[in-house]
Amino acid sequence: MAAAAAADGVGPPPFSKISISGPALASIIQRFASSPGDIDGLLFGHVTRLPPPDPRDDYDHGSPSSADSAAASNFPLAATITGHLSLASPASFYDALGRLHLPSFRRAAASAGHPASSFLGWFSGRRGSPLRPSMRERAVSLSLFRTLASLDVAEGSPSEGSLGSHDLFHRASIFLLMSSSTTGNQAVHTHEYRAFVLRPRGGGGVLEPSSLAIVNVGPAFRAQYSSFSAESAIPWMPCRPRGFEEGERETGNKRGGESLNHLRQLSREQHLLDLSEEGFGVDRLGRLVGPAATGYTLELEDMYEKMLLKLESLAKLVEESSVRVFEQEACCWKHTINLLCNESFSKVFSYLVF
Amino acid sequence: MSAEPPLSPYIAAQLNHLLAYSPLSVKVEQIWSGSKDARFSDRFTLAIPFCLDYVKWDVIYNALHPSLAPDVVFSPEDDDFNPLADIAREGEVRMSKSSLFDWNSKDPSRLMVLVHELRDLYMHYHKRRVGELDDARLKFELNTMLSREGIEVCMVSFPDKPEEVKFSVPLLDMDLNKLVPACTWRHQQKIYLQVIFPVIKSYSSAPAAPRIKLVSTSEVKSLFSIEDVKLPPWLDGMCMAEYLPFIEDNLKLLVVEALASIGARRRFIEALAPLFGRPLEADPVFCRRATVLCASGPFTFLVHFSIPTQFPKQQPILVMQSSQHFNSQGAPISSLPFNDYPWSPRWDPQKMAERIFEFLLDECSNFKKFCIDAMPQ
Repeated sequence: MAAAAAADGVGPPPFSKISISGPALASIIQRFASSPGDIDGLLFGHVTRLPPPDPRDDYDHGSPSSADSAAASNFPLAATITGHLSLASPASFYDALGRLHLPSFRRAAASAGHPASSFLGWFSGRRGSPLRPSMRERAVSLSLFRTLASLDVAEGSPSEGSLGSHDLFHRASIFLLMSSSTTGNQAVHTHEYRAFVLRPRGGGGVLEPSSLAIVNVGPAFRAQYSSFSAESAIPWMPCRPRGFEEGERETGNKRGGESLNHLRQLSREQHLLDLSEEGFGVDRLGRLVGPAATGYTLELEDMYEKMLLKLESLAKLVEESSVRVFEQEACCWKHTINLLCNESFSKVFSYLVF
Repeated sequence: MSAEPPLSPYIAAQLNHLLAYSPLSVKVEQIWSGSKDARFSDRFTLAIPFCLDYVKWDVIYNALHPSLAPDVVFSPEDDDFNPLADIAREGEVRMSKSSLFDWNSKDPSRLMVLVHELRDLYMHYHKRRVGELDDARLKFELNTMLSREGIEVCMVSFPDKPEEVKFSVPLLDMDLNKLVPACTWRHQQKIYLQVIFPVIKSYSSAPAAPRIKLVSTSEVKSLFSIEDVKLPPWLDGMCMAEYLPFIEDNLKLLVVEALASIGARRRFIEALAPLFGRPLEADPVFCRRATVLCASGPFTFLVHFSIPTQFPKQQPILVMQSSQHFNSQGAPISSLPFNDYPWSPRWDPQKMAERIFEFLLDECSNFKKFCIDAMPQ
C-alpha cells in the first residue's frame, strides 16, 4: 500500500537524515570561496539504513514478527556526503532548460574517481543570491533524479547488499545550495549553505529544505564510529586461503579466455605479494590462535631473530665500509699535504696533470 | 556601500531592451555583482507588474560566462512555481518554442521574451492554485470570469492571515490611449477592478462580501481621478458577472465626461490668448496647465492656471508669480493660490477669460504690495 501511494501521490521523504563530513563541507566551501564566479558540481557519498526505532511498550502486540520483514525495507535511510567534484565550467552537464546532458554528466561523474553508485546529488554555489533553489536548479534536480531512476530501471540495477534497487531511485535527490556575500570593505565574508531533498510528487517533484548534520572528530561524534564505513582508494586485493583459490582456479580454467586474463593478473598480483611476505603468507596468520599458537609464536620469533641478525650484519657491513672510506680520505689528505710541503710547485702541477 | 560595477555589455543590452520595449512597466530594483573580482555586475532584481501588484524576481546571469542563459530566483511564497517543469510537461514541441531553448546572448530582445514567457507561466500557475481551492464560490467566479480578456487572478497568502484570492479585472472595452487626441502615454492605460475574496472552506458560513477597489494605471490620473468614482454596493449572493455591468456603465459615462472636459479646457486656454497674449506654456494633451505673462504698467508677472479634471464645474486655480521680486533664496515671489474668485460653469470660455482678466486687474496691485513687503530689505 505504501508503494502504491509513492507511485502516484506524494512520496515519502527519500532521506530522513543527511550528513556531511566536516572536511567534505570545508573543501566545497573552500572551492567556492576561491572560485572567481558561480560554481556547480556533483556530490558523492553513501547511504545507510538507520536502525529501527525503539520498540514501543504497547499492550496489544498484534503480529509484529510477520510485519518485521516487510517493514525492514521501510526503515528510514540516511545519506552521508563524503566527497564532491567541482566542475570546471558552470552549467556543463545541463542545458538552459535544466535538462540533464547525459554524456557530459557521465564523463564528469567518471572523472571524479568515485564509484557511480556513490553519486548522491549535486550542488550549486552562487554569490550574493538568495538561498532558495532557482528555476533552473529545480529543473536540473528533477531531471537528474528522473534520468538516473529510469536508467536504474532499464539496466536492472544490481542491488547493493541490503539496499534494494528501489532505494537507488532516491540516490540522486540531494541538492546543496551555497551562497556567500561580503561587506563592502571585504572585512566580513558570510558563507551560507542549505541542503534540499527532492521529494517526488505527482508528475514532478519539490525540493524540500532539509537539515544537514556535519560529522566531525571529537567527543561529540563518538557515536559516529559505530556507523563508520571505510572509504579508501586502495584497490581491492584478494586474500583468501590459497587452497580455496586453487580450487577456484581449476574451475576457472574451464571458462573462456576472458577469465584467463583475469587469472593472469591475479597471479601477477599474488607474485608481488609473495615477494614481500617471504613465506609468511596471510593464511598462516590463522595459526596465531588455537593449539598450534605456541609453536607458531616460536617460529615467528625465530623469524624476527633472523631478521635482527640480518639487520645487525648489515649494520656491521656499513660500519666497516665507512671506516675504510674514512681511512682512505685521511690517507689522501696526508699525501696531498706531504706533496705540498716537500716538493716544488711544478711537480705538484705535473702530478695533478698526470 | 561601494557603488556597484556596470553590467556586462550583453546583459546591459538585454536589460535596456526590456525596459524600453516591454509593454509591461517593469522596474529594476537593484543591480549587483556575483563574481569575485567584480568588474561587471551580473544580477538584478526585477519588479514585474502582476495582478495589480509587483512580483520581485532575481535574475542571475554569470558575468564570467555572459553567453549562458540567465537563471531566476522567485519570491519565497512561490516555492512550488516550477516553470521549466511546466514547459517540460507539455512536451518537446513546447520546449523548442521556449526562449531558453537556443539562448542567444547577442540578441538584446531575449531577456524580454523570457520575462514575458515566465510571467505567462506564472499567471497559469496562480490560476491553477486558485482552481485547486475547495471553495464553491471561487470555483464559480473562476469559471464564469476566466474567459474575459486580460483577467488575472492570484492567491494572496501571508503567514498569519487567512488566505485570499485576488482578481484583477480590466474594465471598459476601449483603448484609452486612442481616445485622448495626441496622447503621449507610452504604456497602455487601463482601469481595473480589484476584487479580493476571502477563501471559505466551510460550507455553513455565508460567504462574506469581497473587498472591491478601482485601480488605474498611473497616468490615467491626468484624465480623471479614480477616487471620485462611487462604487455600487455588493449585494448578498452577487457574483462578479452581475456586478461588472453596473460599474462599467458608470465608468463609461465618466470617461466620456472626462474626454469632453479636455475639449472644454482647450477652448478655455484658447480664449485666454486674445486678452493675455499667447500663453508662455500650455499642456497640449490634457490641457491641465497654462501660464501667461501679464503686465500692469512696469510691473510684470506670470499667472499659472491649473485646470481641474472637473472643469468647468470647478474653476481653475490661479497663482501669480512676480518676474521682478525675489525672496532671500533668490526664488521669485508667488501669491497664494486663488480659487474663490467669481465663477460660473455656465459662462462661455470667452466670458470666463474676461472675468479672470478683470479679477487679476484688481488683484495685481495687491500682489505688487505683497511682493514689495516680502522682499528682503
